[in-house]
Amino acid sequence: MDLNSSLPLGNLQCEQKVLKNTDGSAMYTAGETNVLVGVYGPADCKESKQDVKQAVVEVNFRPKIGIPGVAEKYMEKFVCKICESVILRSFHPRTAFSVIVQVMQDQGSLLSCAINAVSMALQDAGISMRCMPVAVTVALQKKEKEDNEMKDDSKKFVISPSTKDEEESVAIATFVFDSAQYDSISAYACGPMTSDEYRECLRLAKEASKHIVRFFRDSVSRKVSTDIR
Amino acid sequence: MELLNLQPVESYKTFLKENIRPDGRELMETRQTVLNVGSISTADGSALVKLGETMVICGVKAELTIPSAEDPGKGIVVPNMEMSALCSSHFKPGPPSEQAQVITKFLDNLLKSCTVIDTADLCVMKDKLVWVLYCDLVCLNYDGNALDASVLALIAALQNVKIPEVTVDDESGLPHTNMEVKKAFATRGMPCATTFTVFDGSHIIADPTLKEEDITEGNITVVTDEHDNLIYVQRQGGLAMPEAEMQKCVKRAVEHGSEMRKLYLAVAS
Repeated sequence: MDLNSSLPLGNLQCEQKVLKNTDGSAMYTAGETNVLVGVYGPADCKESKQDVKQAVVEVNFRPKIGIPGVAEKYMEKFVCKICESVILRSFHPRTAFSVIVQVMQDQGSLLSCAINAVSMALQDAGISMRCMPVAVTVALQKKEKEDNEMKDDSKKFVISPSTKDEEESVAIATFVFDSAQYDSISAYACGPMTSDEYRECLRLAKEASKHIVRFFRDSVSRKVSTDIR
Repeated sequence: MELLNLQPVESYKTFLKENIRPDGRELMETRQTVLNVGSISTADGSALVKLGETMVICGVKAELTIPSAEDPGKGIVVPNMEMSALCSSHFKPGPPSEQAQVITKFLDNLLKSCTVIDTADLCVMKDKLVWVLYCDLVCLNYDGNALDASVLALIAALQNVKIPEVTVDDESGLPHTNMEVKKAFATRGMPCATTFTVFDGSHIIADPTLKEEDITEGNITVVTDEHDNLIYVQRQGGLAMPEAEMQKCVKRAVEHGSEMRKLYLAVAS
């Protein structure tokens, strides 16, 4: 079993306060995948949609081309659930938070890029959160080599896979961690894998998430230092 | 009983103190499952699942179509889940609810990742003619955990599908369907889903009812196949959960999977 994991996460870039009208926004690039997120909140909410005890979160996922479909609804639900538990909703009852995600370019690892972008946008808006969600995608590639009469399976874990990596992989997993304790708060794993492989993906993702939190911190300090002038 | 409706969270806590749920189940116990196949005679395959009070029916219709340019030798399977106002007052009439769309996408991901059906089997003639299977799932009664029920219904219905043999006439290029000979095609993996939710950040319960879904947060769904591999793991909701708890869920999902597989084998004949 050959575990060949590439840790470098590729090119990470983030620009905050990109949009003028939103309360918070971020343009996040991971590798060649680019996502733009705008956040509004806490904002007024229709009485029919209000919750008396806490704020309501609504996520809108807009694909690069075409009308949002079922696939976008699925990602909206996933991101919405994360925002609901991360944002301190009980501080703002009867209001609504609106998160709009626009996919600018999708070259792999879209879900984790979107979640990280949402995280940065929520931070830019100054919304009170329990922690910042940090997402990492890990792809599992299995190559079956036949050596004489023995079959030798070699596994490769690719962190932040590109579209090409994703096509060649057997399973793809996206894990979301909290930036404070690095506990796993959400997961999405699709494709056949054993329990051990799942645990290994989780471990690698956790390691990679520490790099991303460091990047978040650097990015925000850069933004704040340019503001103070 | 009134307390359960007026103060659901508080009264649920009193049940949990005794390690039992209001319907008498243990925390990790799933409801009784009933599986019935072939009930819709007009469909090419069908299955009806009753998971406690949650009822989901799946009907599969096969049609012939021209394959897409990207995959000329592969057929297509199109799942679609419908949760109308019929099944619960939670849903209002109108376009498909978010929950239905999420389940549709889940089933689509599951079929693609698990290769329950090898889409190459659905090919009649490469580049010219392939089978497309339209799988329509309808929730007839929603009492929580429509996801597990729909996975069961979809896979059982696909196992039940029998389609006529199609040959393409070399000269005219027209398909010739032999309605006498009907054969099923190989389904692999027999995936089975188990859903858990978390109450109050501390107790994990399996197979929630509708009332339990309303007061719990965080959804964990684990799909296992016949080799006890994890095919699909979905953890929605951002509650931090220690790895040990996750392992408990996986273990329970594997056990539940082997129980459900007996059902698949019993109806597959």
